[in-house]
Amino acid sequence: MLRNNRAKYLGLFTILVLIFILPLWIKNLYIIHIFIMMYLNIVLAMGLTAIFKAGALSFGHAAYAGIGAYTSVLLVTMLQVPFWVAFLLAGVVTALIALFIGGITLGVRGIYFTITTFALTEVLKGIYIAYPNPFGGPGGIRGIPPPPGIETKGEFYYLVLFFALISFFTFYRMAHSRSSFGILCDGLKLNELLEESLGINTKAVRIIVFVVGCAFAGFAGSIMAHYLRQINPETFAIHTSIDIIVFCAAGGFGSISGAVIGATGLTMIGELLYGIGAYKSLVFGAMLIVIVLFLPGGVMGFVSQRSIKRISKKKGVDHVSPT
Amino acid sequence: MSSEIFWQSMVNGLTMGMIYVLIALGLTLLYSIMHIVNFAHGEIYMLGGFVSYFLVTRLGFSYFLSLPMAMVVLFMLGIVLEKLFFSRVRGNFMHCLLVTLGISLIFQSLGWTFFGTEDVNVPSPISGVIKFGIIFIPKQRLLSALIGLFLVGLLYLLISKTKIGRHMRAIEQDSEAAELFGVNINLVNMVALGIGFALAAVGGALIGAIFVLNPSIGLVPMLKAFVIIIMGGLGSIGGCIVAGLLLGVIDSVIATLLGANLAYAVAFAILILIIIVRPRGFAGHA
Repeated sequence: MLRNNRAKYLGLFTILVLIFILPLWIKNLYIIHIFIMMYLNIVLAMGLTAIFKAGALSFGHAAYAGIGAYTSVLLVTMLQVPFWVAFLLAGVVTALIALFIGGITLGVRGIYFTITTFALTEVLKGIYIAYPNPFGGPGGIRGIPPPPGIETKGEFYYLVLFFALISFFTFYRMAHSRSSFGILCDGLKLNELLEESLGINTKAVRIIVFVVGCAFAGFAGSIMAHYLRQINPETFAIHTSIDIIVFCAAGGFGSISGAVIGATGLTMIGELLYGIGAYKSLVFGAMLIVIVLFLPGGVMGFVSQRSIKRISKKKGVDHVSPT
Repeated sequence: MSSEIFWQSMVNGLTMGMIYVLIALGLTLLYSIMHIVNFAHGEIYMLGGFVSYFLVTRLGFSYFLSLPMAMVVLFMLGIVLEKLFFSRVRGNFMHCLLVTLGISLIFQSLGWTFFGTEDVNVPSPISGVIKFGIIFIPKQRLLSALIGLFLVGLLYLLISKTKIGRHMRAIEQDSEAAELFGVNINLVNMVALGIGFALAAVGGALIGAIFVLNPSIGLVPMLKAFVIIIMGGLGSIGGCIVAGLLLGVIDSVIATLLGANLAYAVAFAILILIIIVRPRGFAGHA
C-alpha cells in the first residue's frame, strides 16, 4: 500500500514538474494557448463537479464565468480599476449573484434550480445584446487590456496554471470525501434527510458549494476575458455551459480529479474537432449518452471499477460492484 | 404605445401563447408522468417544423395533412427514444436530464448537417388577414391558435376520459401503486413521451409557417415553455394554459415596447418571482 502511494505521488510530482517547465520546451504558441484554455476549462469543470456533488444540478455554469468576465472588463475599461482589484471584484459579484439565485431556488424542488440556472444563461445573453452601452452588444467588447506585467502567452500560462492549482486545492479540500466539508457534501447525496436530522443545515452546505463554485467560474471568466482580449455574448452562452457539463460527465461527476481528467481530455478532443464545428456537438452529445448509459461513473468510475476487480481477484474475493 | 398597437400585440401574444401552451403541455406531461425534464424538447419542436417543411416542399403533401403526419413521425421518434434511452434511466433524475441534453446536442448537430444553415419557411396555403375593428389578425396565426385549442381539448379528453388517461393520472399520483394495480408503466410512458413529442412537433410546424425554421430555433420556445410550466404549476394542464397565454401576451407586449432580447429577461424575472412568491405555481399541488 505504501509503495503504491509512493508511486502515485512520484507520478503526480513528475506531471507537476512537466507542466511547470512546459513553456520552456514547447515554443509553439498555439499549443500554449490550448493549455491555457484547458486549465481554465479544468477550473470550470472542477467547480461544476463540486456543485453536482452537492446535489445541485446547475445547467448554466458558463453564465457565471460570463458575469465575472463582463464585471472585470467593465471595471477595468470604464472605471480604470486596476486589474487585480477588478479580478477580485469579478469573483465577489459572481458569488453574490450565485447567492441570490441559489438562495431562492435551492430551497424548492431541484428542477427549479436546474431550469433557473439554464435560463439565466440565455437571459444574460439577451441583456448583453440589448445594451450595447456598456456591454458592447452582439459584437461584444474588444481591445481589453491584459493584466499589467502579464502580456505574453508564456506569462499567461503561469498565471493560469497558478490559478488552476489554487482552485484545485480549494475544490479538493471542499469536495473530497476525506475532508470534513466533503463528508457533508457526500451526505447530501447519500441521505439528505438523515444529515438534516443530525442538525446540519443541508441547504446552507449546498448554497456554500454553489457560491464557491460560481465564484471560481467568475475568476476564470475574468482571466479568460483579459487573456483573449475580447469577449462577446456567445462566449458564455448555453453551448459553453453544456461543454462544461460534458467535461464533468466524462470525469464521472464524482471526483475533482475526474473533472481534471475529463476537462483535459475533452479540451483536446474539442480542439481536434474545431474545424468541423457541427460535429463537436454530435460527438459530445453521443458521449454524454454513452457515459450515462454505460459508464455512469465516467472515466474515474471505470478506472476504480477495474482496480476493485483487480484487487478482489488478487485477494480471491468475489467482485462487488460499487454503487 | 397607442391602443391600436397594444391590442395588436395582445392578439399576437395570445396566438403565440397558444403555441407555447402546446410545447409546455408536452413538457409538463413528461415531467408529471415520467419525471423527465426534457431539455431536447426544443429540438423535437424544430424537427416537427422540418418534417412538415419536407413533406410540403419535397413530397408535395398539403400543409394540413403535413401537421398530423409530423405529429405521427415525432410520436414514433418518442417511442424509439423511450425504448432506447429513457427506459434505461428511469427514476434517476440526473441521468434523465443528461440523456435529454445529449439528445438535444445530437439532433441540433444533425439538423445543421442535413437541414443547412439557411432559414426556411413552411409554405402554407393560407394567407391574408382578418380585420376585427382596429386590429388585424393574420389568418395563419388565427388558424394556429385554433388548432392549438383543438389539440389542447383533445388532450384534455384523452387524459380525463380514456383508459390510458386514467392510467396516466394514476402513475402521476403514485407510480408504484399504479403498477401494483396492473397499470402497464412501460406502455403509458411510451404513449406519454409520444404525445409530448407530437405536441411539440405540431407547435414547430405551426410556427414554421408563421416565422422561419432553422436548426437552432428550439431553444427560445423551450425556455419559455420551462417558465410556463413553473408558472402554471408542474403537472397542471389548466395552469399551463393560463400561464402560456399570459406569458405569450406579456412577452409580445414587452417585445413591442423594449425589444425581444429584454422579453427573455422579463420572462426570467417572472420565473424568479413565482419561485419566491408561489413555488407551486398557479394551480400546482404542493
